[in-house]
Amino acid sequence: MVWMGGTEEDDMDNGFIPVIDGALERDANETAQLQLGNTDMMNMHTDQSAFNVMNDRKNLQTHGLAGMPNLPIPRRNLLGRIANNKETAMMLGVGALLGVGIKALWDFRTK
Amino acid sequence: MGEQILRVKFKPGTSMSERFDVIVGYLRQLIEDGIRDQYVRQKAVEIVNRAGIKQHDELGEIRAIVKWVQNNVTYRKDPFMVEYFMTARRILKDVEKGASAADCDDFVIVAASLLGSIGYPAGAIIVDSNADGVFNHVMLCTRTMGPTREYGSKWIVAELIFPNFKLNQSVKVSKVYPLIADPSTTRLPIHRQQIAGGMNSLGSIPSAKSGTGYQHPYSRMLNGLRGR
Repeated sequence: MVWMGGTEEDDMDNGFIPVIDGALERDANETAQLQLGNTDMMNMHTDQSAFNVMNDRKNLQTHGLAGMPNLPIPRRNLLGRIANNKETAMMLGVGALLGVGIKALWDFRTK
Repeated sequence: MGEQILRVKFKPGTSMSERFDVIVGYLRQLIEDGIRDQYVRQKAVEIVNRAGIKQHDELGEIRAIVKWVQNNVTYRKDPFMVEYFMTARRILKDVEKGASAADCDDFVIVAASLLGSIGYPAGAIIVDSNADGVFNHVMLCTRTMGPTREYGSKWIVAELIFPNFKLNQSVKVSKVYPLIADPSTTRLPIHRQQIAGGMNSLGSIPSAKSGTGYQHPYSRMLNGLRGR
């Protein structure tokens, strides 16, 4: 192959990009020190935004994922079917408020 | 045939939303095909067994598959202005041969297929990795069947193209578009569908109008009959 503007034949005519300098054929130790790219990604800022946006209630409803048949799996206990700790706390809170309210009403009526 | 690479190049003038529909259609279908592939399931079982994951350890299985994909599939970009989609089987065979070269959508196809094949709901989420509202990247999403201490019943996302990323760690994104695969689909696998020049089989790919603009003669005939 002769490059445009040149007269000398070169042997890099196998159709592939030639490996010059053998840069990609060095032994493993040298290759590790080459630093050809940004594979370490030292400056990449990461967070959990994809996880948060994905699990956002509005997003789940928009894409029909809130009603997956197995989401969430409820636990059976004395208070009924409760899915998670938040619901347990809510049930206990509502129960306490209801109890205090009924007692206050009873006291108001009877005393 | 099951080790096919689909090469998608759009006609100039194809709108962004049409391109998006096409890509989303292929991505979802390739994951569904992978989930139904026995070869993929065998590989998934091999990965979790080799990682020493105990039975019923759902999060352990998800972590093992994600880590395997992160560490064994090699990230290489697609050619300029062309989108390649590989079947999960093709990617796994490439890894075995030491010739792996896949981009983010292929990573997700293989990881979601592996997870789906051992019983986890799995799919892709398309995200705007520059947090600018423009979808430009794909990540994995999956979830355990039972609630876990770490994540409850929430969807778990994974960045696959960087081996050092943990579950749910990502670059900042502001928008996601989830595509959960339907493993119970009964349509023909993509590699058995009649696709010529682009995105037109008579079957289940989203829209005969979208895509590269090419229409198979049968599609044209069918559209003509519909128009009457």
